[in-house]
Amino acid sequence: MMEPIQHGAPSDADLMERVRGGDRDAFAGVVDLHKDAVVNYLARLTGDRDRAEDLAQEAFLRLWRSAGSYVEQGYLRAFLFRIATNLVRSEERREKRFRLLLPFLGRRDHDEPAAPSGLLLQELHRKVAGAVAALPLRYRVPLVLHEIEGWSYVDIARELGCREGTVKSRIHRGRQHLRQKLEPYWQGGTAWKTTA
Amino acid sequence: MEDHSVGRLLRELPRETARPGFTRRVLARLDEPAGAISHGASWRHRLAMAATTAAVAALVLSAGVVRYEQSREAARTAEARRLLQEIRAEHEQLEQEIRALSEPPKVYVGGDEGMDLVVGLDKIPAEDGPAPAAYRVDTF
Repeated sequence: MMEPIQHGAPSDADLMERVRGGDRDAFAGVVDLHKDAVVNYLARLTGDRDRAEDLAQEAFLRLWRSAGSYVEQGYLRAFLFRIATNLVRSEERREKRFRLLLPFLGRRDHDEPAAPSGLLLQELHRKVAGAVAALPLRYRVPLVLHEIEGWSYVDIARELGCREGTVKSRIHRGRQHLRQKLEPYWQGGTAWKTTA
Repeated sequence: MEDHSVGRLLRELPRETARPGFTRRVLARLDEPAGAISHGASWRHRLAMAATTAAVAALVLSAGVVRYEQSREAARTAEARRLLQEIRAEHEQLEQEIRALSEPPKVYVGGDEGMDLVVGLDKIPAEDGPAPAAYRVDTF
């Protein structure tokens, strides 16, 4: 699990100690250090850049509100990712309930987001991001943490509160789902096509 | 398509970064109450919340109307049962009176401390009918 290291800068532990005392400047420091990682993580989980930004704000607000009960263990980013994951989980549960009442709203189309340009690589990235966001959350979280954030199986298992074997199994299932989604666009090697 | 191809695809996704002013926007929201919907919440979310609230209100209202109608119906039923009971009691009384009229009359003719003499008029042969004793020459 990679944590930012800036020589001479206050550590997460120092900053959070001050945040617990209500220091807003320290909190701004925490946000600056981790905002890009949290936004990127949420963008991969949701497939929606705007939603990711909203949820990232909410994640930091929850950190501020729960600072009094935060126990320093050297993994502030993991703590933030956990808050972010729970926010996505809660939101998806709410959306599922709303869809039962309001079928005309429809489901967010993760597979075909709007394409601002015709570049092949951007199209491919959009398809991949959409495919990831459409995965069941139990596969999506460990897959993103491992493949995109570079976490080890051990770290993911500790964070999710499950066994390492379970993490490997879920990542494997997630890859299988992605292969099924993306195979129609793969021409072999590194060649891709934008239509199936 | 191999697993490593999938992994490579994911790792090659461009990394998103927070938009300018992100920290300022977070700090501006520090004093809002917990649970407030963020300013950037989608229109779908707000519309869905409004529709859910309206649906719940409609359900509660209709449940209240149904309960009111049910209570009125129960009162009407109880009144009908009471009237029916009164009619049945009156009917029973009338039947008793009719039975009493149907029973053959008995006439008390005398007696002493140990015996009462009663004549049941239904015992009198029909062809004779009751008549004063002075008119009869036989006894029965």
